Amino acid sequence: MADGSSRPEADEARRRLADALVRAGRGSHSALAEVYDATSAKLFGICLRILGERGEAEDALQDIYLNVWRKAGSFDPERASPITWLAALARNRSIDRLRARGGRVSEPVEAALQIPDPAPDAASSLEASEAGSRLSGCIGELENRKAHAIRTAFFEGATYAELAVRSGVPLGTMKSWVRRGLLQLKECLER
Amino acid sequence: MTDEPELSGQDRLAAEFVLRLLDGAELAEATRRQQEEPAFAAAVAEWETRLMPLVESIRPEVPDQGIWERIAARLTEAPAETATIHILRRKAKIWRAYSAAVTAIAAALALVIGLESGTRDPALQVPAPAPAAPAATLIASLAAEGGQAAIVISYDPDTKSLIATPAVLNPAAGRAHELWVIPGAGSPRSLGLVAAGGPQRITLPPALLKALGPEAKLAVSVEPEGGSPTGQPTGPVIASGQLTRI
Repeated sequence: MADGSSRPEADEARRRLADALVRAGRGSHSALAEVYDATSAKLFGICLRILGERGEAEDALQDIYLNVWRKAGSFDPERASPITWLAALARNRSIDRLRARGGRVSEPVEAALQIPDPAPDAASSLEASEAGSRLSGCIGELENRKAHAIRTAFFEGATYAELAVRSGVPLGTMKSWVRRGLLQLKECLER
Repeated sequence: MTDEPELSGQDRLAAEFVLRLLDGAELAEATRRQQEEPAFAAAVAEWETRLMPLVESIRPEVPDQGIWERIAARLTEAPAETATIHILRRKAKIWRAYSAAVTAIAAALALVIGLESGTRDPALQVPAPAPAAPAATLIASLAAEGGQAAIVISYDPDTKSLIATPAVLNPAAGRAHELWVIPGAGSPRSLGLVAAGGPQRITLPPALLKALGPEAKLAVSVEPEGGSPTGQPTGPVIASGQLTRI
């Protein structure tokens, strides 16, 4: 399943990216440059989304590609899609950076209630893969509060504790919402 | 409604780890399991495959031209850095063996002389046992996300050193907790490893002392045994906080 796209050009791009990652893992600088050219805009978008500040996101991006360089040897194209692997690394490093800085600027409670659901914007959903469309569909089937909690955790790196504070519910309640949502999501994706 | 089933067990932990919903000791534990348990690592990979397509909705943004040059300039450093770390690790092993022997002898002596035997975990670098709490002017309580104090740091101006006292966080086998200072501007700088157990003293070189301004944050990350191989945090941040004057 992985990227799940049936378009031949997407499959080809994916194969080339996986190949470049494997070569980077063997120490090829030019292969890492290929990976950077193909993915830096996407990964920079992820850094910006999570960190919210350009300078910080630029530092994170450098750190991420140095990490890609060191870890590419452990990338296994049989087991993971290259863009999934890279996106997970970029998101995790950005969240670590956010937490090391002591989190984002906290917002007043009234503002927190008005935070719009971070739903996909129309323009970029044009490039959605089959897997992406299915995931959006399945999240759309969830109860609002569960979908919102999962999206906020994903896009803002919020922990259970933060989600509970933002929604004004006890920690245990938030954990239940998310865990029920995740189970429903998994079942929907397996249908 | 209340009977609705929830995701449970290993699958639950894997999903929560992928979303980074966890913090503190739970995050450290999941990190360890991902690195050591193939079944758990596979569950994590499955959840990444399920959830990462969400990034498709994030608008790509082309980074400035200079970024790649800065990355490329640092690529040559990487292998050399790794080699140095291997040597340091070997030295650390030798030191640990030596220090364990010394500690055993010291403990035996302490018993003989009838002193209170304050043996400590001899692992990790060379932190001298800290004396009873000195008059500190700065203190930081590094909390995990839930607000639980994970480690307390106090600054001793007389010796220009930090005293680190881990409260709840003990690193898993094969892992270490590394303490970082993040200056107001700039990259994190390592303050060394935080050993499990009692208080330990971290002597600060003058350069790092300057980094401890009022803007500075302190953070603890999970690293491989021996510390970060890169000079920057490589594992998840499990606690963070700021020095405040008392």
